[in-house]
Amino acid sequence: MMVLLALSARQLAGGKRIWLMLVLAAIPLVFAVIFALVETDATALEFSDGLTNYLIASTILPLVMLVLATASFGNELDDHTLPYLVLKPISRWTIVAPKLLASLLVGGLPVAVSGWLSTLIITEGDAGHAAATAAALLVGAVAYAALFTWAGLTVRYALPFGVAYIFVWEAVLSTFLDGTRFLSVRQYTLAVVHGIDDSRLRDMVVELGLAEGLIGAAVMVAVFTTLTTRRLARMDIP
Amino acid sequence: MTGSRTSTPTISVDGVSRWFGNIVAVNDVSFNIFPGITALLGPNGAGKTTLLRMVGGLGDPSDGGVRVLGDPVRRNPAIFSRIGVMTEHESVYEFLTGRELVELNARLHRVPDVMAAVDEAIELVDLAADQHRRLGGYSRGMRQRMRLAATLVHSPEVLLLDEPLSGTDPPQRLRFMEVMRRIARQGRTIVISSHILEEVETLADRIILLTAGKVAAAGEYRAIRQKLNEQPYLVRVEADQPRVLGAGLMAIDAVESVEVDEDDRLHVRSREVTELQRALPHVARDTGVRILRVEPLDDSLESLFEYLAQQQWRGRG
Repeated sequence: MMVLLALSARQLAGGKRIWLMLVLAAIPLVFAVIFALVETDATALEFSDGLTNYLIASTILPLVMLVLATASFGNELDDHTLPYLVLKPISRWTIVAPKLLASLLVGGLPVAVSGWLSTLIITEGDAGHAAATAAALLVGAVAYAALFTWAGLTVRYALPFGVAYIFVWEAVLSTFLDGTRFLSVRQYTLAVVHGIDDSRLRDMVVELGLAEGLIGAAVMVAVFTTLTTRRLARMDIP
Repeated sequence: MTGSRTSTPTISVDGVSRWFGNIVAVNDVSFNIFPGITALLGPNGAGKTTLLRMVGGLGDPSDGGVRVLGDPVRRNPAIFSRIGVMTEHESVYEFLTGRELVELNARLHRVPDVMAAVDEAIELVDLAADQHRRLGGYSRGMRQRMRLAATLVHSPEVLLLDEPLSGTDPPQRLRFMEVMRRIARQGRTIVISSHILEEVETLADRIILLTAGKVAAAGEYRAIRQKLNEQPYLVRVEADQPRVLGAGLMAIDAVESVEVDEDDRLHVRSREVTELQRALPHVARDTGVRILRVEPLDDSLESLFEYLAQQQWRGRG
């Protein structure tokens, strides 16, 4: 598994794409520094909550995970290198799991670190606030990794599919339709922030509790990882 | 193939068909393959790659079944410790070095002594000097050789190689053939697909000829070659006195028929093309005719396959 994790991480971290992802991940830090330097009416918590909800959880995290997780199998489908992995005496699960971990390491971790650091800067070193942000972003990253890795292997146009998911399902439908909130990674992420640190996101609509957020994310990971594994076992390998 | 053999086949293809929408790529194909080198031969689009992919576990048949070493190959990852597959795509992880690619394969195959196996495989394809270079900088031939090393690193009992010689130069081909013969002598089974007869004629013990998704002929190489030689060749000859040359050619045993087209060009049909090649200048000299151009009209493998397929259908009819 470590061999495949190293291969997948190298694959995702290579090329120009990773620099674009790192720039995206660094945007919250820029906002945090601006907040620290410029006088504003907003309190530190208000600003940090806004940054977490409206920028990191709803845009940066899903976009970074979309680009990286769809590429984790998408690259191999495009350049016909997938046979190097599937023609081996290893279970399909041991191919899928390192792919998930690699996109988490290369994409989710930098976003979580950026969220942690920007919260620290904004709240002048409040470790509790920062830890809640980082932990929630990691939970969201795992769920996105599972969803978008599946999409990269299964959906023909995975990137447009992912963009539609992020900006239609997550941003619009899950905000206005009650039932869909239980199927929204953004809602799971916000639920974990608020669940760990109840002083966070008080003025914002967080529909789910900590347990619901964690269970929702776990179910999503389990379902989409199973679907990806099944797909890998049954598909025609190009 | 060779259905008369009594030992258990290494590869058994039983009534396999594969279609993509309305297109039938492989149509009710059955054969057995035993240890040694077997060539899967056919023109482009004959279904070789589709068939080899099903044997290698990369795709499901629409109908029929494939067994390798007695076991189904799809959804059976354990079988891959005994099979080595080199696909038709020449793709590699370009960011890896040649050695890293072979090592990756060895580790995923859980080879006991990885480093020794990697050294041996790279040595076998004669790329030790370039093993630490990135694959992205390799020539096409070098990539193919390093891919072969990656395919061989776990010493598979069955090797499936799809167009392995593409991009290689003549010395590399000789080296490749030497390696294949050595492996075959160890009692292993090698299946090589190719659309070039000359590429495999000195290598394969047995041949399966595919055309239009069906087996046109299968058997020992010499028998197939004999069938191929039975096909009449058509050669177009332009000369300053075509009718005089035509009359002279009709006197030769090797020539089956001669026709003159509307542009005064000769269409010479012969079953012994070598003899025709030898006799043509002599006839021209003897008849005082100047030959302007000689052009084989159907001297392609495709036409040979077509001929064999027609023979087969006639035989069945």
